[in-house]
Amino acid sequence: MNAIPDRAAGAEAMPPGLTLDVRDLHTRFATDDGVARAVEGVSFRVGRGETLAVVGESGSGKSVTSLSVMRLIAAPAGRIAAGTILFRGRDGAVHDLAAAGERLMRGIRGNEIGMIFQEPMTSLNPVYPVGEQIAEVLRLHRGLDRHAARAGALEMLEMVGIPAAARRLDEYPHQMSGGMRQRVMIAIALACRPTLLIADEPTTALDVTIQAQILDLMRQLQAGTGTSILFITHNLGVVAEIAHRVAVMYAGRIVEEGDVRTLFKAPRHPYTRGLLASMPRLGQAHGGARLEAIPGNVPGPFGRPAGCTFAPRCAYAEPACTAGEPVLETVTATHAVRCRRWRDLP
Amino acid sequence: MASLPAAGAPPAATGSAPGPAPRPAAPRGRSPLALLLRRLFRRRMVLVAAVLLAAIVACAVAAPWITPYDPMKMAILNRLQAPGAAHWFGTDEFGRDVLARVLLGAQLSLLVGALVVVVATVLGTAIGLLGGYVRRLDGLFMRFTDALMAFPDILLAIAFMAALGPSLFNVVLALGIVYTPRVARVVRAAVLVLRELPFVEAATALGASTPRIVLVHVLPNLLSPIIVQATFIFAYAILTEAALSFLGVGVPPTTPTWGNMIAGAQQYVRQADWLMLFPGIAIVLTVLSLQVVGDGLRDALDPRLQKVT
Repeated sequence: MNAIPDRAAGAEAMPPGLTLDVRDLHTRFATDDGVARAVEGVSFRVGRGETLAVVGESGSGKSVTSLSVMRLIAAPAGRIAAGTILFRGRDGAVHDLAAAGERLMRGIRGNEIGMIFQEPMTSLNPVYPVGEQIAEVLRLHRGLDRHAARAGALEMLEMVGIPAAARRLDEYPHQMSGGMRQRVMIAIALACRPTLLIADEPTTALDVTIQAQILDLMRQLQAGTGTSILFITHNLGVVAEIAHRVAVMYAGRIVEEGDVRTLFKAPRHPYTRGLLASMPRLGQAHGGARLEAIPGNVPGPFGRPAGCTFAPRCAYAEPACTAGEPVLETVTATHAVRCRRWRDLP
Repeated sequence: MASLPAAGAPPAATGSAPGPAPRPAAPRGRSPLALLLRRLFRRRMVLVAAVLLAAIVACAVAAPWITPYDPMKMAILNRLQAPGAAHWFGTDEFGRDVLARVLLGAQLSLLVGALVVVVATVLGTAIGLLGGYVRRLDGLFMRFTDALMAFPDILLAIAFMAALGPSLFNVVLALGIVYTPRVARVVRAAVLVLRELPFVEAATALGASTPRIVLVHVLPNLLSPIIVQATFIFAYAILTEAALSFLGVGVPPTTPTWGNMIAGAQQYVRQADWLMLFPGIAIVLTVLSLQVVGDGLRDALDPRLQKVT
């Protein structure tokens, strides 16, 4: 892959040791009801070998963020309106994916960046054996011949822990369980040893024991390959299992970001606190006490409230909150929060 | 289903053979084709129709071994003989053996049907794929197919034949165009569903180009609806070809297609009803069994599609 000449905001500005550096990303969709601002000024970084979990409710913009990085936003309705997505490939060259051409993107997708989708039941093509689907990505990006690609596919199936892999190679997706299919998806995503793996709710459609196995597998594979992971989820339990750092999204913005320990131990944003309080915990639910819920819903992408978008649902909101948009303030070196009142919170 | 592995490979050897076995068969006989055939023939009528169809094709191919007579050779002394031991289906007004002519007609009708299926399927699939995938072409293509479908099949075919002139090739061309919209519409509808499925997005996410996605990922998933349509078009094409020939605008009357034979038999219907009867029966059996198989295929393929997608 040829490195494009780096732009003004390019390589020299991207700190070393980072795989992905997203800055001020805006993604919008033109709909019949107006322009939906799905992502509004999101910035985050993923270091080499690091797992960043992006957490949020439905409609918070977390999936659109991940699709933006892959440039899978369906044109012409959707587009990346502003921002840069700096990505460092395995050869060290930095590309701005937000401005990259389709040809460059095709070379990156599946090769430098692998992606796992939420629906293992429908993310595999029903008419091809799974072995061929793994082999396809190897043939596309590695230029392997049929035979070598098949050997590579077998190796990948073994790597993701599918028993009797040689036999499974010729099975069709409908002959496999959801957990097996998700392992196949992971095998496809990792076949070319990508520098970045994007996992968009990879365990949501699976039952809990399989979830744990898949998370285990991803952790192992990351330790083995040093792949960075961008993990999209709404499940805080999963976050605690796999993430190094967490970014909490609300209504198209990141409202709090920090390493996983800090965020779970000392959340600063009222929304993060609400999310954690609404999560059942072993040993902490006394005598049938009700779980807390955050009142109201995530505001839609049209006509979001002025100022802090969480203010209408926030127990600590004051008039100033709706007056101006809060900025991301630094709490510690590894912890930032977008709330003007974080110092006052109990 | 060309892209699928052959059915009926021995399932026994796949048990626990470890290591890189040379392309083991789909285990437990569950290859899609085997599944399909089992579901298809669960209905007795479909099995009967399929056997009948196979018999018709076999007779058409084996014509020289079934009857010793030359379908074109006249024997004026033997004209209009009723069916009997010498001539099972009787003879026509020139003393030609009707059985030999019906069998030659079977070859021609099946040939026309098959070629029409090829023309209509190729054109229709191309139009449907492009229309379903390229939004800008969709409106144009669908208005075009609407316009073609607005005319009754036979009227449109007659118009084309009037413009092209009678010949076997032109019949194939005309009927191919007449039946293209059926395939195009079905393919387009299926593409509109398929293109939104996660595995298409997943294919994009692993770096496949748009032409590759359309041809390698979407097209094979269209096989089921295309096969069903192709079976019906096969039946319609045989019927319409007979009608065109009967009306005198199809294959030139010297060629013994079933339609031409019935047209020629009109004036002898009082003395020699067998002249009309046997080609008529041949048309009915062929078209009916094709329709039953088509129906069976539709039933056998649909639930599978729903389950998988």
